[in-house]
Amino acid sequence: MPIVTGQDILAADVLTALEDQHTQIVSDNLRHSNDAQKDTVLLAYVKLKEILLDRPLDNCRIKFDLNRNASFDAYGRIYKNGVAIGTERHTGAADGWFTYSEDLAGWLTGDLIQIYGYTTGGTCSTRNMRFYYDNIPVPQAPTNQDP
Amino acid sequence: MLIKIPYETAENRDNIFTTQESKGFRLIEDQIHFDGKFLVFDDGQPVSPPRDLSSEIDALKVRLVTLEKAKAL
Repeated sequence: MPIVTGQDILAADVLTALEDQHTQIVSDNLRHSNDAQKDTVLLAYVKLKEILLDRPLDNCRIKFDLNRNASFDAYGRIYKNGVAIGTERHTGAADGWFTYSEDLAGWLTGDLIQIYGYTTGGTCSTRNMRFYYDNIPVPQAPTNQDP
Repeated sequence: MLIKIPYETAENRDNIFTTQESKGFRLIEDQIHFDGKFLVFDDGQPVSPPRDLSSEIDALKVRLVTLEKAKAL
């Protein structure tokens, strides 16, 4: 059996080991936020906000705020790596900021979680892209393998 | 006060939105969660009047001193 010295243990290995022991469930506990407001006047979907994951995220409640102006609808949607995966949201005829919340699953390290938006004529604004979840330990699940 | 109302379809959602808005409730969040779809409304009123605990303590102290003086007489 090789002798493992302290220098052989990489931080990435430790993180991987910890990730193996935990999963995430959706909750109302805020874990990460990207609050800056971003706007677009384009008439087709364009990327407005983006978060890069540095570790897997099994389940996550993602929220973002959407606003319109000049009486034109604003549309917003959650994308993963440039592909729409969330439900299309739109402000309708109502003015002001609205929060849209959606539970999604199956994110991997390196995935890009994005908010895309567009307007039908005015300005589409989005802000407060936030992640809500809890980390829970994964219980041991040994397998009996008697011959 | 916040109220949370479940919905199923877009039409159902629009009806709830219109009804609640006419009652003075404002939509603050539209949720599509694993356990269902919900609209969260707020009427803009505080859940309960805020209590000024420090003022209540001061009033109790004054009352206690008054009672102690009355007892001493």
